[in-house]
Amino acid sequence: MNAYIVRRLLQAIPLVLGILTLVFIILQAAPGDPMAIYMHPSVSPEVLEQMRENYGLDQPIHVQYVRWLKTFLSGDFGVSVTQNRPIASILADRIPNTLLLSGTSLLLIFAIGIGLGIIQAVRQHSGLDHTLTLGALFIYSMPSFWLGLMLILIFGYKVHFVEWWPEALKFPASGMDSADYDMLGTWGRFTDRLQHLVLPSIALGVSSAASVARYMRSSMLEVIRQDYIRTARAKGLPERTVILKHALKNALLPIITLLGLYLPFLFSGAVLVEVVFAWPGMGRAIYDAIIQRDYPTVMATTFVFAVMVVIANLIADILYAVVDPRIRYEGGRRE
Amino acid sequence: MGRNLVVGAAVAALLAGCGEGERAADSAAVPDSLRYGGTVVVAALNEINSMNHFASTDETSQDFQGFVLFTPLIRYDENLAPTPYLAESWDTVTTRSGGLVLTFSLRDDVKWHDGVPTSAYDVKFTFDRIKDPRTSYRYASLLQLYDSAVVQDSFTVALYLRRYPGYMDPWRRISPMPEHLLGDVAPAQLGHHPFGTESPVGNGPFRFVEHRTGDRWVFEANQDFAESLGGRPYLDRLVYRYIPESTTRLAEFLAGEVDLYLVVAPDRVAEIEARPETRVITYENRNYAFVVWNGRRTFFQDPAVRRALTLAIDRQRIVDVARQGLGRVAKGPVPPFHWAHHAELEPLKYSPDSARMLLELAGWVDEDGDGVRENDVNKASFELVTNVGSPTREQILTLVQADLAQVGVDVSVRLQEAQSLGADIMDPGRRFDASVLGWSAEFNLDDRILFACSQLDGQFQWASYCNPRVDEILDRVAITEDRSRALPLWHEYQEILQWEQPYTFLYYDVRANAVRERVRGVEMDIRGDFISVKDWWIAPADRR
Repeated sequence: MNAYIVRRLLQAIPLVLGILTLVFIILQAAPGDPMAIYMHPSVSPEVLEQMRENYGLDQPIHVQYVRWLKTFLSGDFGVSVTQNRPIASILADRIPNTLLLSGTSLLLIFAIGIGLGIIQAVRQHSGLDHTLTLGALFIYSMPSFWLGLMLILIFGYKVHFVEWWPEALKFPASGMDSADYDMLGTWGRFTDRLQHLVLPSIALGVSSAASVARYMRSSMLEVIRQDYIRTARAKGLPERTVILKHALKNALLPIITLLGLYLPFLFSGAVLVEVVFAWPGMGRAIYDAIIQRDYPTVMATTFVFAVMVVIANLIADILYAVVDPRIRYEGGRRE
Repeated sequence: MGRNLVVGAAVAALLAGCGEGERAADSAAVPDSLRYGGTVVVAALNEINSMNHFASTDETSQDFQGFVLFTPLIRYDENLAPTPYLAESWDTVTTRSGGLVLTFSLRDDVKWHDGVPTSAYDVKFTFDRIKDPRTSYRYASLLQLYDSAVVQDSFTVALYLRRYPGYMDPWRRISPMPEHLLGDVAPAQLGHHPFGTESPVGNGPFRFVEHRTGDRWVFEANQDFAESLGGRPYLDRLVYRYIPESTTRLAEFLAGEVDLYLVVAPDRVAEIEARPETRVITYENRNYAFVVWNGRRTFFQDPAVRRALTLAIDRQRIVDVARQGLGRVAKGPVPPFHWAHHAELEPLKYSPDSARMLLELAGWVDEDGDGVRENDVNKASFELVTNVGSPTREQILTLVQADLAQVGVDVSVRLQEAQSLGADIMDPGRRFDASVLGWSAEFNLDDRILFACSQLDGQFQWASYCNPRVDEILDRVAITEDRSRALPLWHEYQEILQWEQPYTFLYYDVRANAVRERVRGVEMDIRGDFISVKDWWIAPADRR
């Protein structure tokens, strides 16, 4: 297993470098200039030239690429052209925020998706099953940023003016915490953060949850028809045990592989959701950087996303082996 | 937090019935001693990237530097005349060679937030770094005519410069930086020194607490702010939040999480005004919007044609529709706030008939009856482009298109991503026909970069406009200190541009900021959104 992981990681290196080179080329091909945000009648062309020089943007593209690659390989992401600060420190601020948001979303996706899927499979062709199917399709077809805006308008704004609406269901519309977060106690901070997580993680995760529910339903239905389930029922086991103990583990198998598929999806969804909810994560960083042609920041954020996706896929593959003892990666022992 | 605010809103709704008069009386009833405390949250579209004056570029960060974290040498009073701030007084002496020595005497009681007094050495340090090209200070041109700075004693600094009319203006904008913290940093490194983003130390009414990129800046009252400048501010904390999506910003503001919402879209104003607990503050700012005609295109070469285009565009309707009345029809590049504004000059009246006549006289006639005028082989047809992301400008595109169709001019409209549009327009080849754009006029106005013949290949001569008389006027007003002598020249300049219309000046912008009623003492005008930030206060019952 370890050898397998190491090999997968080694394989990822050329992949990530290839992605970065491609992004570098596309960025350079796009019209625009990182210095454009500084262009202003009262900024003299000499100052812009000096700034280009300070950032190394006056060099030809291939020189810039080699120079960037060199500093990058030595572990230095460089300095953001627009934020005037080392990109490493920007990433350090932002990565945890994105992980928190997509982690919460992921939890939501699988908890809701699996739960609903099981219910639908057990009550196949019932009114509940049809309603949930319809609901899932409805939610699945909603774009996350639009859903986000609707959630904000309803739960972050309109309900604040409805007297009978419970306080606990009024949510803040943006940011990670309140203005006085640093003055709150530990419990206060925890609930404050949780409140701020609700709307964005729903917006980010709910459509994936709907599709997980669909997968879970069909996977469960397939398992339920198997002989060993009939045996379990024949033994006189209660239905709950049959479903949750015997059927669930096997039905989960294909769902786990979905994890690897959903993580990249989550990260790209985070770009829009973070903008809508003013969530200070990587998605926002990459969005702002692209708009402003902040080349070094775009490269660094792309790199982080690429690595996250590679790792997510690896985790999914490993989980697969953990859940299904039949699957072994060559050279490894059964664990 | 949400709970208290909703109650507060209900109380405010009850109070609203009592009317403005009682609110004023109520505010006067809160004694000064009870005004200290509370947090104000400001939200806006722009991220403030740095508190380092050497690095920052945008207006919001400059506002925060000048009014919140730092103490510039002077300020402007409501008549835009310099008044003392960090500088207690100043003095000018004309040298034998015709230059000027400007001597600032600084207050001795303004301290950096780490306790070190702000001194003349800080001013000289800031001056020297700005003049040093390696710093690449964005607005180095502010000090173009300044030569050197000499410290006379700890609180006196003499500046040597060539005389020009707006020589005091830079000192309103430049915030002196602490030499004891940044003196050892190499000039080329100053811009991205952690000082600007992680640990800024100022000397203004508020001190830095925290910065989270992409999220917020937190400041708290500087308890030791110089008594001679009014002592500590009323507020305990001031939070600036960056919320990129306008719907989110509005929801947060109306729900009470945000107290001050900078730059409200015109179509949201009514909704905010309708609520008793929020209001909108408007003021005419320094921005104006225009259509630039690319003078290198055949169709736009004739001033009479450009005048016809202006006459054919109903600019009042643009103000009413695209800006919901938040603007005033413009007549030139010198906005009303400026002392040289030509008040007697009437903007060209909307008159499609005169436009048609002018076009015909200029040889543009619709011979083939297809509704579009021609002149020889050329068709009166062009593309009007603007940047993506500004609903106002998008609306202007279609309004202009419809107006010009009425006079037989065919306009196709296009939206282009801001950066690539900028590249096309700033390119010396001027790869566009016409574009809807905007400028912000400086207090110390110098339009040579926009309209001088010498700038034809420069970045900002978008109209490719050249008139030797305009050049002469702009050169002369740039050195004429006596306003009574400069004024006739300024007027002539505005009259010429009115006649030749290198741009069709659309409107002078009115800025709308929304504020919750609980925040008192908020004043804003052309000098900025934060001019009274030190005097903002919240009654104890209204605090979070």
